Amino acid sequence: MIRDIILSVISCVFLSVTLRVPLRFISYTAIGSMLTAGIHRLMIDSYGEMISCMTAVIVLSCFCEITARVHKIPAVVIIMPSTIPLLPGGYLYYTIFSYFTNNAGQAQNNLRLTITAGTGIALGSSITAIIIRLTTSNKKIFDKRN
Amino acid sequence: MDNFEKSLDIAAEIIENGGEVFRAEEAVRRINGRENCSAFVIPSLIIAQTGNRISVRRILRRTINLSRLAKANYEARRLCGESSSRVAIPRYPAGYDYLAYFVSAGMLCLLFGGGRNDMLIAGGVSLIITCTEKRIDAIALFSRNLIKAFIISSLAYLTAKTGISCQPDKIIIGSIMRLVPGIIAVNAARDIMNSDLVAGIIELAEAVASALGIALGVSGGLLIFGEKI
Repeated sequence: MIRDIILSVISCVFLSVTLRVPLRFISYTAIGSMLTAGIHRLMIDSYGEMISCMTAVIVLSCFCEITARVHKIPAVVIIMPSTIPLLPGGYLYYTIFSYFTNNAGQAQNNLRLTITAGTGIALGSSITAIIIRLTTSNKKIFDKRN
Repeated sequence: MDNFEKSLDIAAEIIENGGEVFRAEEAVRRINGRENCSAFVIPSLIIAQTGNRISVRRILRRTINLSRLAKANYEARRLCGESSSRVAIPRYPAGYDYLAYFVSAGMLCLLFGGGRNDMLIAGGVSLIITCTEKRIDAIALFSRNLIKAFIISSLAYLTAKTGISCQPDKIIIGSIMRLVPGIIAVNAARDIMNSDLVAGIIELAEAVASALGIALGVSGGLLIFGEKI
């Protein structure tokens, strides 16, 4: 697992360069990818693809939102490269491969995993967006009252 | 150029460099005053109105440049009189992109179970894709991904056919990870949750088209150069 996390972090740091992440925020993308890869790998055996992806993205989004508010940058600058270890590229390939090798059952299973991982990432991001929206609107109401 | 036009340029910069739709709308409204200004943004168009003035920006090309996005955010905050981190756009040496793509593809290949040979080949394939990138940059996302995925898949299978001990599937996975539209899907989900349904659906359609492009490209390589089906 540690090997996987290290590989994820290295690939994310180098992909951050290609996505033109500002230099002083690359260390945050390394921490973000460590969080996503670590949580995903820890949870995948017990909870499956969707829950593990969703939890990883929720934790990552919270980390990114806090960092973004501290440094006054868009959270997406750190979220984008840090979600790379979760992307279902492998499942996507095996879906196509299984389909073309007439292994319909395997293709269906990989397609399900591709969609599940994608949905988990989208759900995690949406849940965090809702939490942040609620927190921000509560804070605005509190500020107005005082 | 007045603040209204500047705000539209900033919104266009946000969308062109991978920012979310709500951020672009928020930037226009904040700069021009929330009460006086309306803004409608989708990934291909920005329409804004303040008083009697209406202005439109067509977004023709979208890439991901997070430094430019952060800089646009800084400019928007500066025009609103808010504090923000000043962001310098990094200037990397010429070969830096190639090195970054080589290492990231190699590491992703190892992550998905590839060996040392696969890692080097995935890195090499990624380098070739980076070289062709500038030539096919003007094409639409679907076709661009289709061409890139086809090249990746063909090169992986051709390398395996030369007798070099390697696993083409691991090479392909390591190299196509950079094409997978996860970022677009995340932005789509966030926009839909923010009630920007039109923008969210457009981005979702873009993510599906992009994934289809990858699938068709990989299957093309698999059909032509892959193992006997």
